[in-house]
Amino acid sequence: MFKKNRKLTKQAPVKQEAATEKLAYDLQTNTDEIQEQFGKKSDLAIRFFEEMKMAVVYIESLVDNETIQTHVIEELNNQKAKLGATPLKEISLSVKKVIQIETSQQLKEQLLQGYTVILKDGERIAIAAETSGGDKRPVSESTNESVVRGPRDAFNESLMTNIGLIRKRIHTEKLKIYKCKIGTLSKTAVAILYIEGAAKDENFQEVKSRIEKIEIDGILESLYVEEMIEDPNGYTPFPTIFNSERPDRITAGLLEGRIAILVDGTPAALLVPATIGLFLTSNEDYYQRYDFGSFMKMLRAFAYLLSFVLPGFYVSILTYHQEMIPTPLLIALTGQREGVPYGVAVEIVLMELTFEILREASLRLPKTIGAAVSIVGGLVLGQAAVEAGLVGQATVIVVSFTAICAFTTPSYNLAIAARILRFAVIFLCAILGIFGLFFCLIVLFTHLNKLRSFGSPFLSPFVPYHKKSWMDFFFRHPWWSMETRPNEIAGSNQRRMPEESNNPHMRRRK
Amino acid sequence: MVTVKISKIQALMLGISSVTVTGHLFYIPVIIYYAGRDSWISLLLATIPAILIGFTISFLAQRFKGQTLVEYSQLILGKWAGKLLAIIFLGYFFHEITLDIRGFGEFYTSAITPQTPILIYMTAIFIMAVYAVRSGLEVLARTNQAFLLFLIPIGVLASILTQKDKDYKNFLPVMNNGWDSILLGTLSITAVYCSIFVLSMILSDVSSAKHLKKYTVMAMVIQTAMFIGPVTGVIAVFGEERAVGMYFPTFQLLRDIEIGTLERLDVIGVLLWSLGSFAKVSLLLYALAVGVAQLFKIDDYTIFVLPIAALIVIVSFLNSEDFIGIYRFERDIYPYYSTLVGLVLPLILLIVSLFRKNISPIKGEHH
Repeated sequence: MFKKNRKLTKQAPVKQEAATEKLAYDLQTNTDEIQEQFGKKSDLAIRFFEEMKMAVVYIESLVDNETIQTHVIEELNNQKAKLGATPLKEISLSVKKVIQIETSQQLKEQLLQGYTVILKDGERIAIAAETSGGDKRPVSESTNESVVRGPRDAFNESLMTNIGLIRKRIHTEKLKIYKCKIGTLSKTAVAILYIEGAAKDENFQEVKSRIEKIEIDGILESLYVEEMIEDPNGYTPFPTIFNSERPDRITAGLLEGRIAILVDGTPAALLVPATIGLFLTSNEDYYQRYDFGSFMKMLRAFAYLLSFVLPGFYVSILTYHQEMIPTPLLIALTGQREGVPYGVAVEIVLMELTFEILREASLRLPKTIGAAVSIVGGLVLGQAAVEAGLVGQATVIVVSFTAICAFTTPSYNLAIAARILRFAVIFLCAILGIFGLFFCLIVLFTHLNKLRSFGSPFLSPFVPYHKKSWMDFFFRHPWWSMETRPNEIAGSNQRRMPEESNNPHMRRRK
Repeated sequence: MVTVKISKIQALMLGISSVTVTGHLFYIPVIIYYAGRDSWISLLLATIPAILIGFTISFLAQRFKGQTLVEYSQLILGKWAGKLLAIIFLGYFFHEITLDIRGFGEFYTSAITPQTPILIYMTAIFIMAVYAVRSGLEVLARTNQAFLLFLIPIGVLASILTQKDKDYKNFLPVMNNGWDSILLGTLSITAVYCSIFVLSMILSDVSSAKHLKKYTVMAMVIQTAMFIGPVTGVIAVFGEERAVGMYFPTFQLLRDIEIGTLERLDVIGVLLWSLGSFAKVSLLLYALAVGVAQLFKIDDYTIFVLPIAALIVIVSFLNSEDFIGIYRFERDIYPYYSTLVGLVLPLILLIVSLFRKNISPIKGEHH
């Protein structure tokens, strides 16, 4: 099924009909045509200037009213006297951008981008002035990826603001931006960003060609793009494209030689190629001292592993390998479970499901009620379930600890993989004991080895082994020692620091 | 199709993990049966055939670059004789896996979960192996690379933790049974090493064959070193008399580990042998599937993986009714049979290839 879809995207895009139809000489014909296409009672506004035989057309919901009033209408009115004789081309307006329009298709496109189109009787062209506006959210603090130390700003829904946030961090012309529009109906603007030299050129070409092959009516979130340009790895619960709403995160990726994809209308920007290290890293690792950063990195990787295996391990140990548990603990554990009618596996699945439901409930509810859900779920339900003899106390401990481990994963979509696969691990452990756990781990590891993200192996630099890139994998080496970009990703310019340095502060790395 | 290349070290790591881990589990009793408390002398002597095996494999791989065993045996001996020899080798690999998965299944059903049917474990290991093999050699090599780096520390740790029970007086008197038993022990160890000949199916995909001989011989020496721990450990802890009667003495050794209040660490054993058997079964399965595909000149080997796996499970039941039968086979026949196919035949192949200086490629082959 997935393969079919992929093939479909390779077909050439259907040609737009009437793309070359020119505008008419007559003003009335042109405005009538526009009116007809947008509907009589829509948000389309047409204002006629009878004396000059001109018309100003715009879509009310997309434009900035003040710009139109002061810079278009007022200026036209001021020049009333001479305008009748001047051709459209020569009219000067104090707006950011003015473009010339020849076809009715172009006219529609510009109108829909928030431009104001000026038509004149007797001319086959029109001019469009950039007046786009409308409300947008200001740049605010990131709510999903918060840090103790480090920049606070997060992307918002406007592509231009987002690109600006990155541009303000990298002041070089080598930061290349390639813009295109996807979606036959939505015409969503998508920008591909990379640093020339740092990123591999073939990676950029690959990203570009994959994005341009997308055929869909609308793109509302970057996940649409993500799913369509992923490598054909077959089914996988793991994300192979990284996303973040923090500009500093995306900029750090660009400096490593990755390629960013920004989609208009969503704060989530994509980063490719993505390797597992990227998903397990929080940007704060780089803003705190390196020893602490390394500790956190390792702790997080360990917690991620635990969030996978802990419930399964508990099930297999308690069901098949009781001899491993020290005797006093075993007595305590079985004592607690005395009144519980089900097996350990049933207990764990029951609690895990309850937890997932609670979590989903608190996510969907308004924030004020969310707290109530966590109190009801965590305290009342957990406590009552144990007291009622539905589950053992140890089970509650294991499930809640697993949940806490899962929360340490900085990337939400990597944590999702663990949330789904945890149930498979529990199931196999209930059947096969500890071998079931190892079975899962082996298959999973083979699967991760199979994954590729834009040609880069997902598990690199772990396997295939790249010694230099280990500096930024489980450990975070001090900044003065991280001289190179990750070599499986970066392009021709591999070095972040000059090879020879006379700077005494830099020399301590030697 | 993209040509898959793995590194020399990855290839040799596959060989090491496949031979050592299953060797530790199943063949230690055979070695001890023959050489008794002098097993360590047998092991030292076995370095010589080990180096010979390593040399043969790497010599053939270097002489016929980019070609697998199936392809170059046809080059050396001519089309029909070569094909016959290739079939013998593939048959050997096939038989090797049937023994391994049977042993693997018996290990679980006798030592860990006695009530689970053996078929469950065989199916499980084949699900892992088939998935890995179908993903390609590159994935297989990388997976194993990471596992081996994980296995070696655990193995070393296990050997250190059993130190407290070891009594090295068990090795005395030295050479009480004479040279015969020591040499027989060496032969049985050589037989275990011989299964590394399967590498000749994958060394054709190595990115650079430079210094391959040196690396392979090093790998064989490392492998011998990895046998020292289990062989001496078992005798030092249990003594010769008790060790001979055990089917899984190394596992028994691990069971006796105690760290504070933690005891009965069966889990370590399960981990070691799950990973090791996975490596061996998937490597052999890959070699078999590729070999069969090359024998019939079919490009895509993946179609053979599942049928061969199913066949292996069936044949592994036909091998013998119970594990005692398998053990007897390994004790009485395997040392001679495996050495013949895994060492003598390749040596003949090597000598013939030396005498036939101008070997012409088979018609229709493009390399």
